[in-house]
Amino acid sequence: MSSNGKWLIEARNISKRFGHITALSEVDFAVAPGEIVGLVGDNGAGKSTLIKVLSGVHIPDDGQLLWEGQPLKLNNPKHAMELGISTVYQDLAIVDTMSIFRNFVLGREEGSTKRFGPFSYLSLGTARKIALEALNNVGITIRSVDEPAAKLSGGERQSIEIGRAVYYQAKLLIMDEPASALSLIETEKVLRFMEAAKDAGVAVIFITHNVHQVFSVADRFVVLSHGTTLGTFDKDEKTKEELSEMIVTGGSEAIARM
Amino acid sequence: MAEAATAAPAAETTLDRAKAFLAFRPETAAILALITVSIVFSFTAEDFTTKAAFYSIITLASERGIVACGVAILLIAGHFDLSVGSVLGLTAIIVGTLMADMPSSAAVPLALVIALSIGLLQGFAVVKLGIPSFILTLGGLLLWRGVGYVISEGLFIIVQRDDTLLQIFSHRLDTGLYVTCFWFLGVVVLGTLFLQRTRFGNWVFATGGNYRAAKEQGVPTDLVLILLFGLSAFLAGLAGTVQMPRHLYIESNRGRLLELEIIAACAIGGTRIWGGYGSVIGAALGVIAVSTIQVGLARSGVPAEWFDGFVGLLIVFAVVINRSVERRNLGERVE
Repeated sequence: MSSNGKWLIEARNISKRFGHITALSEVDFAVAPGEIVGLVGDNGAGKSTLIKVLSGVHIPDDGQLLWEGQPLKLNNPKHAMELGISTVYQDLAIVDTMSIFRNFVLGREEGSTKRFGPFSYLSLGTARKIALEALNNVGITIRSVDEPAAKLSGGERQSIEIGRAVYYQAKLLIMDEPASALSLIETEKVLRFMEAAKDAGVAVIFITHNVHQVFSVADRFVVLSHGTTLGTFDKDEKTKEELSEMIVTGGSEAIARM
Repeated sequence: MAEAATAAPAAETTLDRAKAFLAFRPETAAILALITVSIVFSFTAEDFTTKAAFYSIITLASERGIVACGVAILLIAGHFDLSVGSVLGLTAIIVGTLMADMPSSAAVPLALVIALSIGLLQGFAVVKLGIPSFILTLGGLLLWRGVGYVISEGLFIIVQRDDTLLQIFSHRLDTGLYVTCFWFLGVVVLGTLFLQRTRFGNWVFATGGNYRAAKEQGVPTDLVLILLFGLSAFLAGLAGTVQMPRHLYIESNRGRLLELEIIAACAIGGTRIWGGYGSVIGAALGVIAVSTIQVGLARSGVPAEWFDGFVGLLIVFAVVINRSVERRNLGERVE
């Protein structure tokens, strides 16, 4: 992790405490454009806290964030969004009662706004076109973007959010347990979408405690346990089994064997 | 969900789009209800198919409809406004009282600003204090009614019916039609454009459909709600003003129980009571259906008390249809 210029975002010595509980203790983490990093660890390892620090939800007590090599202080989620950090949480930000294309442009309607004299209005045609094209670009075929989002399957909903992140030029895509509620086929699709985002030059962080899912797509792994970094491994450094063992045992046995 | 691999992507025809558009409309029940009650009353009611009956329906619907548009938009954003009847009455009382001392050109704007402020205040309380809107505006219902009684001292206020400004709101044309209907039409058209064709409209649906998601996508949900509470009260105040010249005087009870009729009309018109779904046109059609029942019953020579029962039946009828339309459109995922 020495070459400073390569990382999109870098977290150095990040600590975060909630009252007496130390959620993160001097954690290092970094991700570069065009790579998928698997952030793995058991429940309570600090994965969620770390991504919330990277999404501007939590302000760290100690440590430093660097964005494209420059010191960064994230104030709130909106600030992170404006930088190009797009976080897809487990409970998706999809409005079921609204159509797919209205969901797609939600909160970013500027791109589909047109002027009529002194008035500005939402061009539904433009919004439909944006949604359709953007979803096609990440390889998602939708029957009709006029359908309510409620009709989509879990995997399709995930893919809408990924398509949205890619279209609005997210530089960093954070996926929080994306496959936890999906069928095997749908999980496979979401993994393909993540690879599409990576190929488009996006830095992807994939949070999960399921090593089998993350192993096929991630380039590197960062293992967290009890709020500290157990290590960072390239894909060919560890087997799937070794990685699983590290997560389960908190690293003690795996480290002992090293 | 099954693989749709055979379907050609992006080959969307105009017909498909029209179908998708129609299948997503919330107005279906209101249209059916309107046709049904019209057919029934054309047999039972005297002179129901005359111009006079039609104009009566339109006039009653126009005053209620202006209120319903604001309430429907707020319902779509996920919140109730039970105070509209009281705000309507209070605004009329304020206009009537002020006009004893000042010209209507000052009294009317002042009263409308007061109505708007009441709404913004209620919205602020709901958003910042986290009080459920149902309870807060129930408080508003009682409070603003009380303020109206204090101002009017419980007495009738004579309306200066030939005042020019009031005539602009509610002139009776030679045909017997009140110009109120054009105000109603204007509010419906503007409300629909606002909901369907502005980014703010998109925010309204999102705020009511999934509050957390709307916030995560950067929608200023607090601002949206405060402004919509303001709009609801403003339109109630406008309706109160528009209604004035049709009567000789304003009674302290003006607008009492109106809030229930309005919510009934919104429900008939396909507005989802949990938010996120509905239309201004649906609410307008719901209001016309309710007004048709009122006029139809009066012309059928039955006691006026039957009105509530008939509206009740209509609500059940409409909600059954709306639920099935909703379920077909939104699937089982959405409660």
